[in-house]
Amino acid sequence: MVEMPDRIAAGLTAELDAVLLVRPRAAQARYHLPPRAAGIGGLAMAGATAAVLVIAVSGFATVATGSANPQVWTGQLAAGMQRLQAPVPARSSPPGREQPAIPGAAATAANGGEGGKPEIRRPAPGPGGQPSADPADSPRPRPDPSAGHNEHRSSLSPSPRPSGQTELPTSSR
Amino acid sequence: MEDFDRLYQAAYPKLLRTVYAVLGDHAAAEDCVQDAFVRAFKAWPRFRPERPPEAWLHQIAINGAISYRRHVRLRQVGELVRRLGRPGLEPDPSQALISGEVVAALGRLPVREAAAFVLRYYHGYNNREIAQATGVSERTVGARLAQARQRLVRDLGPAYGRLPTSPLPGVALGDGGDA
Repeated sequence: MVEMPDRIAAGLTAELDAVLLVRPRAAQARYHLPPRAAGIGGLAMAGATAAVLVIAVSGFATVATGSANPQVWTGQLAAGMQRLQAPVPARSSPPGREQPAIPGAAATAANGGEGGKPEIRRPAPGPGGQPSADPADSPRPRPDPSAGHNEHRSSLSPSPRPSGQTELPTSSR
Repeated sequence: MEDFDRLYQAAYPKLLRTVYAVLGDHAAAEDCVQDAFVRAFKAWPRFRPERPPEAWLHQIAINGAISYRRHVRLRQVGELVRRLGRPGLEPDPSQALISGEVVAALGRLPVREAAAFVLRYYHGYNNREIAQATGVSERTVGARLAQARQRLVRDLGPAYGRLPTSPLPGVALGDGGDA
């Protein structure tokens, strides 16, 4: 156990006794102040909070609409409210005429169904009968080789094949 | 109201010295003590004389000092970040015997430990009274006092450590030391 040196206690006493005190008068104590003084701080806090909220909402609206004009905010807000309240329109186009998501599928659909159903890509057998397992090949819908089309469809695919390989007709069937 | 005013006049000096010893800042101590009396005044109708009013006031003041120290630490962290890369101001260890060092060392302790130390070695409270003033058990008070003593001896260095064989000049001792 650490012994408490007397010197520390003596030093503490000397330092605290040197603290000059004016005789306290209760009439000047803070708890005698009218409540209004404390309310000012509360009003200031409320004002600061409101200001922060306004700035935050303005910043959010500016980022969301891309404009710092409050009229633009209100206009877009009104448009959004109208969209929410408007009934969902029925689909005018038949299901078979849906817009395709990728150009390649659009061209495929335009060809009258050739390869309209995306084919699951299988590795084409190489010269030695071994299936090519080129990891660079990406699974992409390809036309059925048995249909006899040997067209190079790389121009129709959305992105070039990384290996630069061309499709070989499979005449093994 | 008159009772509370009398309590204010009697307890204010003690509370101020306690909080000043803990915070090391006279202005901050005055502010904390005034706030403590404001809170005590609001809670005065609910006060039960199960413990001494001074102990109750000390608890309120010490809690206020803890909150103040927390805010000061947050400000210091911000200032430290701004001063990154610049050399800091280290205290001179050769200034150990200058007055104010004990209070400065107390300011580096946790508030509750420093408060327990001041209540014991300045105000002369026993462990039970300190427990009432700080809202903890007497066992916790004993542990805090031991930790405070250990840290102060380590912080203040050999000038405040165990007495040497020959006393230092200019320092008044009691019975000659704790050897």
